[in-house]
Amino acid sequence: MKKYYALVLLVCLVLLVSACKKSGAATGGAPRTPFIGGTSGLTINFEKDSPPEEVTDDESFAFNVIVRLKNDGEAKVPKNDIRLKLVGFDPQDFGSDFEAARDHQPEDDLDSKKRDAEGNIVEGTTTFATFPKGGSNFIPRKFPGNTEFTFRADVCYKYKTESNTKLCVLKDMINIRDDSICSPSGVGTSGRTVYSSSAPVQVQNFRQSVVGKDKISFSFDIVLSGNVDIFQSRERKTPALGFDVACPRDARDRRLVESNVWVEITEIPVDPIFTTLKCGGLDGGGYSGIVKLVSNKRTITCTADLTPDRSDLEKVVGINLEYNVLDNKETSVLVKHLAESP
Amino acid sequence: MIKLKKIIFALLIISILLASGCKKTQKDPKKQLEELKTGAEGISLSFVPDFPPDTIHIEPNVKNFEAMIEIKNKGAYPAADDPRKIEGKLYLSGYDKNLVEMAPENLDLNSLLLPSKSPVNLQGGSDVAAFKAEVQNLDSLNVEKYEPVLMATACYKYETTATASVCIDPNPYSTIKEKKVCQVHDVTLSSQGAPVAVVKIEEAAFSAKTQFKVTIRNVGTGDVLKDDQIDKCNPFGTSRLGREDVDKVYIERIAVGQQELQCWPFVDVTDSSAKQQSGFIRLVNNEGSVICELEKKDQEGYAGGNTAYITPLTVRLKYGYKAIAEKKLQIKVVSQK
Repeated sequence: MKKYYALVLLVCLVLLVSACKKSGAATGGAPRTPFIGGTSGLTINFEKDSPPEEVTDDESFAFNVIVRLKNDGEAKVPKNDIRLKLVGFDPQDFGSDFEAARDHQPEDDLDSKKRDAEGNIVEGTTTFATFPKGGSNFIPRKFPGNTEFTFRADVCYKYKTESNTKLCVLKDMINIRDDSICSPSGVGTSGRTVYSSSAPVQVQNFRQSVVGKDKISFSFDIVLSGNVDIFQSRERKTPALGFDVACPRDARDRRLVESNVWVEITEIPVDPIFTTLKCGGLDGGGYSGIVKLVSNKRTITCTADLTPDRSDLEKVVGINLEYNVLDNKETSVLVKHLAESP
Repeated sequence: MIKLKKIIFALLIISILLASGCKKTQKDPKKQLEELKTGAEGISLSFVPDFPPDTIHIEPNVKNFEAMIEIKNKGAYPAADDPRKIEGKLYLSGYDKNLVEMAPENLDLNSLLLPSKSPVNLQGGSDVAAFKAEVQNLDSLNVEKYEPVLMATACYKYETTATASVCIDPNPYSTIKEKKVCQVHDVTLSSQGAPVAVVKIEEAAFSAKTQFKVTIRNVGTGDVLKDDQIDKCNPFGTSRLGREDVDKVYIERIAVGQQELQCWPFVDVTDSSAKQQSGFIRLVNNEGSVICELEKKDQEGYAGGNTAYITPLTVRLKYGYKAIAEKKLQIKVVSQK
């Protein structure tokens, strides 16, 4: 009898889950959204046994640290736009030097995760960075006893987020017919759906509103969703110029560029339907510039004038973001002390 | 039979769970639009975390830091179709000018992007103001640390527009029984997306006029100033705010339908009992009121004729407002020895 109840419960749970399924989700066939989506960028891991969990001291054990990088996001990252460093220990204690543990770059470019027209997902590529640089090894010196060290791989890489949505443009923006192809005044959480490529920074809460007969306004939030730090300087310096240039460690330098994102509105600035586009919140005052996220979020509001000669249509508006991401992965290595032979 | 009942009961529970689990968590858009004109805040200030950091270390060649203040317009002014910008200034004070040089000394709020709450931005506009500071002479004073409290002060002009439906009854003392579309009653309001709000409209109908007592309150957390005296907020200025500059709200217009009302008592006038359409009222314990009258014209009567009718009563207020934010700071001199 209990089995019967369990079966009923199971059926109901299945119903529950299926009923709660997102109504917009594809149920088969070609995808209807432009991006795979998600908040992942590069995923960092240590290769198995590189470093080993335990090694022995007194130059009796040589090892490498191999950092595996996988692109789980939807932006391609050339190897030159990635810099790695290994911190948490003194390389000299391991027969190496600081130079061999910093400003390293991986072996290959990292292609993004992709989805073809039919919805088949091709995983992003994986590459490796081996420490110490130059093909040598870490060889622990003699320690007084068993000692545990933290090996942390800091990775600074340039990343991009592509987002888009559609703006509703009608011939008559004031008197909206019930059967119009779209509504130009998306309000609140029922505003226009915005799609972002998989990346740590996302575009969310896109809203459109009518400001005048030939003028629309739209706003969106830029949100840091991943558990990483982001940086961007006015000169848009990339990790190709060095780890500390793109992802500064010095507190003062860091504060100036921390949480900054380069934002650019695309498509509509070159579309003849839109005559002018101005975005507040961007330091340039136009349609591109740097914004500083406060508490991991910033709202951008733009206004656009429309040409009077138009018909009812939906126009794609693109929002591109660019920033440097600082992420890390750590592990510990126990250096076992070899007892001296009597 | 009992088993069947149990199954039905179990299914019922699951169905409830199913329904509640799938309930839309989204807010009703209509409700969100209504909320645009609610709230008791205008401009709010807060220091951006880590700007400046709690502790700043000063070295011989590194003496500067940056203070950033996030400014939000959480209110409903200026309206979406109003081209005006917020007028006012942001000041940073609380430090010894001989020890810390701040640039700029103050910042015009109209240079920032601070639109009101709107359908595309339900939280209202926000911008970041940056001040660059340089510590001077601290090492020569031979002190190890200096602990100022930075105070950001925004003094700005703001407006409140409140609207309520009121009932105008031309024959309140009618002895014959007649059907009326409304009864004269008091109206209680909460907030209008501004730090000063109309909170109550008390209505009394007489044979020749209808009287309204409009109560206004400072519902925000800051101070109300006369809107033409906001420059006196400057902590490094020559003039200071006095008793005559604070707790005063300018009533720009109170109208029933299209008709502007005559009101009293106003302050800062020669005859406080004189009836006029606009003027300053004083808030005592953050609250003040004004009495206004809608006169019945001898020939025409009220706009609704001889029967009771509902019409909007509109109140427009102008005032200055002061909002502050504080941050405790520790400036340490790094010893070179």
